[in-house]
Amino acid sequence: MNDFVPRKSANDAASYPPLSDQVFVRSQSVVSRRVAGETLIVPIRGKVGDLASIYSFNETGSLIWQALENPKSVVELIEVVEAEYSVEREQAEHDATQFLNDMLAVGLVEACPSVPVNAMELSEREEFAAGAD
Amino acid sequence: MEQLTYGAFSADLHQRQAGQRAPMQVSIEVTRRCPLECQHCYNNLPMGDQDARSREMTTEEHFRMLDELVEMGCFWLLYTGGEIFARKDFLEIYTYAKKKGFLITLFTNGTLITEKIADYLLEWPPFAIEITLYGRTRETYEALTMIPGSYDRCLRGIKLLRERGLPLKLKTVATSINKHEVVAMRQFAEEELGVDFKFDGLINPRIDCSQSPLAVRLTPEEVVALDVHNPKAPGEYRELAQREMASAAPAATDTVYICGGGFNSFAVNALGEMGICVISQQETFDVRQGLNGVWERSLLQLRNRKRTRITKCTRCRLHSLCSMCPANGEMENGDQESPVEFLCHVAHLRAAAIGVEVPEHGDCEFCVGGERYSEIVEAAQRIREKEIDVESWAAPQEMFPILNNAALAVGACGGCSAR
Repeated sequence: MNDFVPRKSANDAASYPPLSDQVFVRSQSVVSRRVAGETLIVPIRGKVGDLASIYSFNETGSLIWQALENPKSVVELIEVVEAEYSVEREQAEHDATQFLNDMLAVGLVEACPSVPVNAMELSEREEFAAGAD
Repeated sequence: MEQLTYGAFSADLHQRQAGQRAPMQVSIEVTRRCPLECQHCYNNLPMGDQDARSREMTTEEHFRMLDELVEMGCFWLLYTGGEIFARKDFLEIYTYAKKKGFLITLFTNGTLITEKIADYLLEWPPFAIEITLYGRTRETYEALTMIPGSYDRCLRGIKLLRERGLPLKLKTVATSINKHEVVAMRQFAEEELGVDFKFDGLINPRIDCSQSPLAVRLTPEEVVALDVHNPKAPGEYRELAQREMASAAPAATDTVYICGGGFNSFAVNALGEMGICVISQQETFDVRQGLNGVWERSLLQLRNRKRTRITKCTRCRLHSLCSMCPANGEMENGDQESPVEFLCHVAHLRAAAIGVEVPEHGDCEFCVGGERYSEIVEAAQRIREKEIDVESWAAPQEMFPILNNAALAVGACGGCSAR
């Protein structure tokens, strides 16, 4: 799996930990809506990449988005994709990281601040997500 | 992941939903109270009207309605008034709606916008915010709004939103009082501020049946002269008309309503009643016990109402140039199906002024052979040759045509229960 950093700026890039060491959650600045059978992500607050756009997901994207209701590591997201579609690990890695990468670039998901993988138990992660609401 | 502009998304969704009855767009009138007393307004009530205030939907009722609108698949919301910021809880309602993921347009006169409100809107940006500007000078603006100081407050509101880069648009209602400043308002919006501008010269009677707004309505010639002076409008109207003419003549529909009202949209008024649109208020239904039931029963029944007769509108092919609709018929004539002469006059003159031939559509006094056809031809020529020149218009002699004109305050439609 390729490591990756959020696309903030070239100068900032080096200061971010690798993708595999982070935990991600949906941004509080967007909400998802089901409209006409489609999952749409609507930016609702300033500071989201492009407020003049909305985003729609394919089936895999919707699955990952659903999983990100609570903080998840990349590995967990890959496992979700693998389990749902019975695809090769390599394909699941590719799909999950690319999707995560795209979402980070436009601010739809955020890395939980300073939370390395495995340092946060599931119950704590749920608490984190609930508290942020 | 697919990133879509709102325009592309909207076009795609409307295409996919074509033919399916679903309330994609909802207009919500949060109050009819307003700090201005515009002479042309169809629904404004004084800020201090306690009776009006007590009958408005509560904050919690708005929240419940928004929850239900999500379930019903509504995606576009319009908040209108009265003046939306006349309600102290408006931002609370707005934020709740934002968090539900609606795309929200706000209609406001801008006079109550403070730095705090502008900052808040920057944090929670609307899809669009439209301010109605009533004049380009203090004298004209306040002659229409009747409130001293309102011009400066409106300009302050515009400045606060503009400074923050919010998606602002300006518009005006062209009346006999401010018609001479429409060009200056357009220049202010488009050239000084770089924002979109549009005007509407069509004024309705009040929803309480008073005809008083009609005292400041432009003549059909003035409405069309403003259209023709607008660099974009004639081309757009021509294209719309050509498209309508090129399409197969629609089979005469047997329903009163042919618009999106009751099909992919509806309105909820300040009292918590659902109607076809914000101006159609003769038949509305209480939504406090739930919107979906009203949408599926009462509004559906209204939307499917059969027309009772053939009129000159039934086979007319000028819909794209005409504002006639059942709500306008209801407000002006007390009858949804009765053609509004003013609108028919404007549509035929508009067509003549931009060179669109009108196909025969029944007994119409404004068509070839009709008793007022020559009026249309002559006025269109005067407009084209700039004998009616909007740039030479001056301020009217009489700024307050409604005052001391008791006849105009009398309800004339006869079809509704005045409220």
